[in-house]
Amino acid sequence: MSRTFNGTSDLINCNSASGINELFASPGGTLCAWIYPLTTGEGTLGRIIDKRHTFPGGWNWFVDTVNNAPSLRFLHAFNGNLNNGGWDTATSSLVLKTWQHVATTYDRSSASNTPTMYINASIQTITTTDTPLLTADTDKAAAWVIGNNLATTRTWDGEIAYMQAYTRILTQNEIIQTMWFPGSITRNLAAFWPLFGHSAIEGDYTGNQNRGALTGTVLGIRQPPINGVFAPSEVTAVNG
Amino acid sequence: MSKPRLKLVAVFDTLGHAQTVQAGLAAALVGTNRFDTQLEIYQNEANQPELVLHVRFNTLSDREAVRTYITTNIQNNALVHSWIQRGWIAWHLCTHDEASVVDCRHQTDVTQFQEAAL
Repeated sequence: MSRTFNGTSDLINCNSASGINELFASPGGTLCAWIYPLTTGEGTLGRIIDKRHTFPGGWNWFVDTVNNAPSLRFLHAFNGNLNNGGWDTATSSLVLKTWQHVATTYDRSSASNTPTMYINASIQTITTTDTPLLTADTDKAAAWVIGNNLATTRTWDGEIAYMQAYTRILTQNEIIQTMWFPGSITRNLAAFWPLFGHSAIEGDYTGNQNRGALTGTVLGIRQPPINGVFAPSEVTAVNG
Repeated sequence: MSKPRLKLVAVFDTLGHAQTVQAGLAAALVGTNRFDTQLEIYQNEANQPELVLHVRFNTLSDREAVRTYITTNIQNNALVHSWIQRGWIAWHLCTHDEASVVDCRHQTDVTQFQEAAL
């Protein structure tokens, strides 16, 4: 199961709620997802997640073709959007037309902290392409958007599946577990969007009600090679 | 119901230039029959002013009129073109409403311009 994004307009808007805001505040947080990029996406900077729009703050997680292309980039706003932190995995570390599991852990409480980025649960060499200064900006006013930004100018082209967000930093062994068995680690699991692709609203399977409103995105034709998924029924998740 | 779509995205060198083009686009849209319209400028990931126009028109002729305006006054206008760091125009070639169609990725044509200067 997965959801496909068309590279021009699709997105899932999960809005902003206290449970998924400030994910990277101390002691840090973790993002995980399976991705299948057909291309580098709209503007060649296709979003996995964007939680940063016109508001001077927030962060985004995307395919980068400016630095180390194509790589996985994580950007977090600092100092009123003036001195943002940006980090990239190595050149060609992301592969088009292939399922890969990506994860990023980060604690924004100090500008000297750097994220740990994983591809297929392997820790990646990180390049600091933008050095953050002073303090991190809040993300609480920005909507959590899957597969695009809120301006719809960075649409993902391909599939995304099994997105999870944690309010703690997962270990590498935990990343491996969530890669093969999404939803199986529930401690500090703030949101779990399996992206099964068959519901009118994207349910948050933690029951935390971080539901996503769909624009265009439909059931993907490819499935990531997981071993099993831990999720309650969709009805429970959507309603509950 | 058909909803001919058109999207323009352009990254500008200055906010003032982006606002000039935004005003021109707003004027070009006056009198057209639209289902919904997004016309805004935001700061992108590189803190550059980025203009986005995303419209679902109610008539194909209005969509084509605005597309012609963009081609003439933005894409092929030497002065305006020089303000743009990178940009693209996308228009959907089908006449359906996307909500009723499973996957129509092959029906959207995208024209890039000024790709080089990232």
